[in-house]
Amino acid sequence: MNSNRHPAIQYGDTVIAYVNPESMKPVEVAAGQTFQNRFGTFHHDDMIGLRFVHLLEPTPELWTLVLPHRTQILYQPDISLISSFLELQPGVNVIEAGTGSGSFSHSIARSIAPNGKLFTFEFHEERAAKAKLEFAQHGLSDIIVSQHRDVCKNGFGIFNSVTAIFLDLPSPWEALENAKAAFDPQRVGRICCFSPCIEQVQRTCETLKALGFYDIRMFECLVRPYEVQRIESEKLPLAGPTPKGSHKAFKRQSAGADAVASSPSSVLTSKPKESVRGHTSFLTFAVLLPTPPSDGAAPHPTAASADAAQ
Amino acid sequence: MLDDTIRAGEWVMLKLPSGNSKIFVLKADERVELGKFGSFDSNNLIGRHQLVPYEVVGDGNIRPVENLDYLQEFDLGDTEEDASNMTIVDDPTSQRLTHQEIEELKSQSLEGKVDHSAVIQKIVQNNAAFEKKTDFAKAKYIQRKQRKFAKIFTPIKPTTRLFCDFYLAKKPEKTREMRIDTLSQIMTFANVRAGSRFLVVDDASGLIVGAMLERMHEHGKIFALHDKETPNFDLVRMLNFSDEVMSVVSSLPWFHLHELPPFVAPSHPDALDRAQARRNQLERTRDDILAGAFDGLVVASRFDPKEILIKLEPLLAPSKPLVVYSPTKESLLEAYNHVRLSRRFVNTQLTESWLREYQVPVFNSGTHPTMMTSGSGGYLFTATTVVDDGVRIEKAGAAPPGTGGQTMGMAKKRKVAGSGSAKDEAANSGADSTDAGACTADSDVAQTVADAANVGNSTME
Repeated sequence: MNSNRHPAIQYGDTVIAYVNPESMKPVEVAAGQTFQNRFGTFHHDDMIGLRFVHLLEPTPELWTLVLPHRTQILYQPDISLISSFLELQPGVNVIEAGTGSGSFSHSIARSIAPNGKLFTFEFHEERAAKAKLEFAQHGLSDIIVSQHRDVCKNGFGIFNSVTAIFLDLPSPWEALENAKAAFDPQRVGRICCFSPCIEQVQRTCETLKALGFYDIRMFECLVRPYEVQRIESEKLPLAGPTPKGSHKAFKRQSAGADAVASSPSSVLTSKPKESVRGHTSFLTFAVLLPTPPSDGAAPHPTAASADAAQ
Repeated sequence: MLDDTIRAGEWVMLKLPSGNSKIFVLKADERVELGKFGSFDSNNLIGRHQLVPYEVVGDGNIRPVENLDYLQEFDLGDTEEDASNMTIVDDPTSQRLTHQEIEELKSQSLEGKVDHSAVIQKIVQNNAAFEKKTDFAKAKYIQRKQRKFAKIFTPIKPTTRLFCDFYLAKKPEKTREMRIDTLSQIMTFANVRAGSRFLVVDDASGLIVGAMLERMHEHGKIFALHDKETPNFDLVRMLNFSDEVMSVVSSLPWFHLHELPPFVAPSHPDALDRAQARRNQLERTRDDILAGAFDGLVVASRFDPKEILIKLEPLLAPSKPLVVYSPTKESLLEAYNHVRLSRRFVNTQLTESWLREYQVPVFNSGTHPTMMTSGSGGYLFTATTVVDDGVRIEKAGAAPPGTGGQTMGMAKKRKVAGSGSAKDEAANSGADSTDAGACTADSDVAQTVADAANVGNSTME
């Protein structure tokens, strides 16, 4: 998933075996191995030229859909909004805790490459080890520094050096003081706390405010997926009764169904999917203002800096 | 970029207490006018940090605001029905200062003779009803006065996120009504990253191109197609990118995509050199675009998305993202259907962006969604290119028998690939044309395969 990709699939590559949007699976291509799905068994050695599955180049977005879940993970709409608010871009130094299944880590690494650094922390030893291995397999070791560490108890071990922090922890408020110390004091610091419950948000907001964070805002972010179908728009039966069983003709057909598509009275419709993700987490954002420049440029140095609330 | 210092010669936005903003190029040795919020000398702002609220003091000086609390946004809707509000009646006489006295205070504040906070304090002190208000109501009252009298501004270095918020409120047609959640999803779906080579149709004043540059900096290439002689990327120039970053973008008018007009040499030799250089650039850009193999295509255009896709889709490399945005769903449906039926794409999805902001519990004011919010963030359809196996469907909904659509074709093949048992047939015929009904057939196949694959975790579903 790093930028030094090959144009064609090679041994050792991770690919995404795609059947449909609900059915995808990551495969690490290795000599002599096989991969199996509903269509049968495929030898890795002939992975080119398959007809029933497509092998896709992994992107952080596809990886999010297929990765082995070790924890609840972040999904694309949240990942996107958080990346924008944290202003992730090449060269940014970021802290993430915890690493979890590494869903967001992959996306962060993509956004801050080639010269940014992600310091990611996971308090669960086995998860930390697995994530570290995955980052290495995906060629991200240069960008991601992965550590097994409880940041609530032991802090981040990082001071005055990052501009973006993402906390996906059960009690993010316990890590906020350490997080504050990790921000570069000459830059605007941006933090996001990701919590599924409103009670967590309330404690987080109160602690953020007490520590002098500013512009505290909270969002819920989802998407509503649509199904697109071409359906027959039926004429009124003014000439006589409709044939027996004809009500079934109304059943929805796939957008590409030949008979419906060729009918002049067909209409392309869309409706939201029946069952969708209704909640992921609340996203709490805040800003830590930089301390005024010490070169005397500020005629009235005051307590408007980050230390105001201390 | 990667810097929070305000500099001379750069675009800056000043957010004012009224909620209005001013966006302009900050020049040295200038008096910056904030209307009823006073004015200050630009040199006092240059070299300071963005996002810090400053107050205007005396004659053109500024200093960081000490108490940030009352500046924070919170909902002004009448949400708090505290019992103590019972005694509050709408009484215009509760303000003991006359209109004239307030106007006098205002003009003194503007001239820098009195502090704006002293003005607000005086107005508050002279409000007979103030003490009877709840804490929440007091905060609301003070915030209202701040919005009127506070000589405070917040300088912000423009970002596309800022433009989304700003134009959605002020002039939505400029950015095609793009909301920040949608723009950020475009960036992730398209896998925008340093080192990529993108094809873009941006009729959102450069919002898309700007957002891509924010995530690519000087690494990579962006080719943009536009409808006039020169592109309208107003917003890109307001993002203060270096020349190096700007050189990532090349653009070509649609009307030059098929062929270039014959080169007419100007008579004057100086003009000839310039014209020749422009011509060479144009030819190079066109050649680069037609060379294809792009890492992604992003469309936010006033033109028919289906027509755009038919033209540009062959220029995408395999396994690359396509992202099409529109503020209306209907204008995407034909294009969506076309892509869904095409053998060149998989993973076609149509989504509407959904975003809800909450008032946060930091003002003793309760946690609830904001009373007014944006109704829709617009629609995205996304897909991934694959290697075309030669069976192309040219027109939506006119698939000749035997070639079918993506799912139809797979349903047919599934019968061949499966074990062919009666159970399998039944599963397939009952599955209409969706993929969901294939589970039974699936486990069937799994059982017939002796050597289980040694990859990933367990089975497909």
